[in-house]
Amino acid sequence: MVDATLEQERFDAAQALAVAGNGPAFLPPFMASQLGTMGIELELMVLDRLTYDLMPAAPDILRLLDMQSKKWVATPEITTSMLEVATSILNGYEGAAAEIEEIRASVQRAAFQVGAAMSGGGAHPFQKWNEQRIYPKERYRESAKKYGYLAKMFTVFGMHVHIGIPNADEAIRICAWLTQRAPLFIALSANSPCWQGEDSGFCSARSNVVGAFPMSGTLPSHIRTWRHFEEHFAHLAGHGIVNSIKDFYWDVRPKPEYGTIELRVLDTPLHPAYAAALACYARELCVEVAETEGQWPLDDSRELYAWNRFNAAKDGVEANWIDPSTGVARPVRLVVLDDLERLARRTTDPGFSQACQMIEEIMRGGGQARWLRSHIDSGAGMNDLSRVASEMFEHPLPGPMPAAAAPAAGQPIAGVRA
Amino acid sequence: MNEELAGLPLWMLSPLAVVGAGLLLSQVIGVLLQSRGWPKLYGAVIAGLLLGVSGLGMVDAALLTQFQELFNAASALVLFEVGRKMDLAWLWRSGRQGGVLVLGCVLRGLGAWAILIAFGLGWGEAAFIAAILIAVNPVVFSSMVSDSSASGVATYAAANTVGISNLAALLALSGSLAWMRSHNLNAEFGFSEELLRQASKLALGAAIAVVCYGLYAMATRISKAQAGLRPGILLATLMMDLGLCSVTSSSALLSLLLIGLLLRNAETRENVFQAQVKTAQDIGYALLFMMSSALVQIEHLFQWMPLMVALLVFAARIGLTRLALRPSGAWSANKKHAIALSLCSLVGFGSLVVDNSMTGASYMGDAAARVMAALSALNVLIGPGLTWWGLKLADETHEGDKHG
Repeated sequence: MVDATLEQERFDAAQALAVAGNGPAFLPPFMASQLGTMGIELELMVLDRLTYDLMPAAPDILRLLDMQSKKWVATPEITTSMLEVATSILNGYEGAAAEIEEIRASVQRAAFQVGAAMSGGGAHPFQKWNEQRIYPKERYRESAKKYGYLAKMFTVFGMHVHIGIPNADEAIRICAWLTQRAPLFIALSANSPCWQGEDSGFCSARSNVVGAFPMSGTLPSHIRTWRHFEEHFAHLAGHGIVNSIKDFYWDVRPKPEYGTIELRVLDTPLHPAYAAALACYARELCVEVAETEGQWPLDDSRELYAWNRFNAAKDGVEANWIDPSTGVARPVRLVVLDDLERLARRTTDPGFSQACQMIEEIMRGGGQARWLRSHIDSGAGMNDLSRVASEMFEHPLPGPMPAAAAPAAGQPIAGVRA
Repeated sequence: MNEELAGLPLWMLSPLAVVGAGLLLSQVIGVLLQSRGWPKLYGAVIAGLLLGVSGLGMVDAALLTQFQELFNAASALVLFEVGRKMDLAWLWRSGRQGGVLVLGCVLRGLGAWAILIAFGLGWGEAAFIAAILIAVNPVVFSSMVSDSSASGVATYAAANTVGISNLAALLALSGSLAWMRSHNLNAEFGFSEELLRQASKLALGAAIAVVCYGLYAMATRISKAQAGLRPGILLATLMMDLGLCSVTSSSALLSLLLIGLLLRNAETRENVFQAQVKTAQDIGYALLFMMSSALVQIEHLFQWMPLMVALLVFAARIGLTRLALRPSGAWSANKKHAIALSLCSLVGFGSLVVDNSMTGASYMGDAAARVMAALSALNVLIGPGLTWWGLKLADETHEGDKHG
């Protein structure tokens, strides 16, 4: 027991040095974890209460959150207008929804105390990348040196879902499966239609920013076991391209130190409550795949994935998705509804039906990006769009809305002043 | 006299050309200072001192009186901006944070009052000066924030305090002014009548603000003007407000602050057009500060007693503001130091009545006038520097932050 603890500490230390770029490249062994446990990370915007532009107040909010005793964590991100929160290990929808609401309320309270506002959303509609400030921490300064302006361009706000996997080889296999369905999550979460003050024409402009980084993309299809992945890591580390698992900006990647795979494609939802539902959808897909032992996706071509990804980012829930298993193109909305129906029949999570209701609510009226666009169409400017998003974050969501109350295109979002 | 005038270059006979030359000089010196890491506003300070009554004497009160309307318009923009930075919802609902910022204003006034009385000023005169000293100079603070692209929680709190302090100063000044006037040898009215007169000026100013804001809101709704098209409508509204305050002798400061306050707090949608008025503001800051520097007589700092009182008052205002911030846990100690320092600058009587030709000297004895003059000189020389230092101490400026 003592030996195991010491070894874990040694791994942690080596990993910390590798991540900071102060030590040799290091890939920790995959720590087994219980199938279906999950964790959610949300990157949130810190806003000025007058202009609703980004405000560099994350260090001040973190200072207040650090004083609070809590089971979740709040950490800095690369620029000082970003705040990251991560849940504890969760087992189902109800626990996730409760903890996410606790996080929302705490962060909102701390931000208000120092005179800032918070918001969800994948990208700030009008921030200028060159006005962002790198968080005063060595790792982020190193990233800024390494990536130049891309580091500040990376002021985008994503949601990551971790799903526990019992062994390393299964983590690689389930990564490959989940990658195929990642575009569905891009479509469902898409809520960043504006970028640098302009309507981008995409539902998720954020999704295009990640592509500029050299290690973005997906798990290469030749990797079929954890051993393959270790060899791939060693090969890249030998060239000095990567130093730790954090250097892989893949859409879905293994996270060995947690014993999870990490889905990284989602825009942070406009309301944190949506995060719990979307995470449960991803979790149920992984649990389902885990039961099909030894099976791999039939078509793992990069081009097909890139096309699905592009369409999802462009058109959100109104996009078509080409099923790599059948080659048939179907509307995202129908694919998701079919998935939810199938997963609901086999789930052991008593709260999953609520998650399904929440996801259906997200898809109503064309999805979150369409809700925001309806404000632009009715004459709102970029500052106002940012205000609307911020006001959605301010209050708890009163449970899934009935169909009649869900926002339709062209209608203001419920609970938000027009 | 005519021979003297004939000897001057032709351009110096034009007040507009002289003020323009001063503004040009302040911009050139300011940009040079900025490139060396110093605050740009000191360009206006140096130009004002060089051309003003402490230097070549080309810019003086008589000359500036000719531009009073222009300066008042520049003040209007600044005061409107101060009002717009006041977040009533935050001040009220944040509880302790809003409370300590108000407490800071009260302590600044009481502290200054106590020091002035300790140095032998009459308590009425001391109260009159102390009321003025509650206020933080909006031109110094706003221009320093703009110069260093400061943004963050300390800047936000300080910006709110500038508004609170000016409102509190205005209210305190009304009371002390009523007292001073009613106890003047030539007093026409008693204290209560004077107080009523001062209060009615404030009430009229507030009423004008509400009417003008209503006209602004109506104009934007009729024209359906989006944010980017509203600055022109706003500028017209501010000019009307200022003009109406001027002819009715009502409080222009309160009126202009209120318009900003209404725009910020009553109207949520599309409440932003900062970028469109920024250039005009930057020039306005330089103009106002060059003018106040030009009127400063440096020799007031060579008299040791007024200088000592002025230094003590300056230090006490910073110390008491910092003391008031103690109960709040929202800001780190460093941010509290920064807030206190960035609120160090002070205003003159003219700023509070939005008429820079007025000095308030008629309400003060010789000793009090000397102290006030020393305070004004000190404010011009060190106020901008300390404010700049405070913003840097908060680590909320954008200077020197390249890609990491």
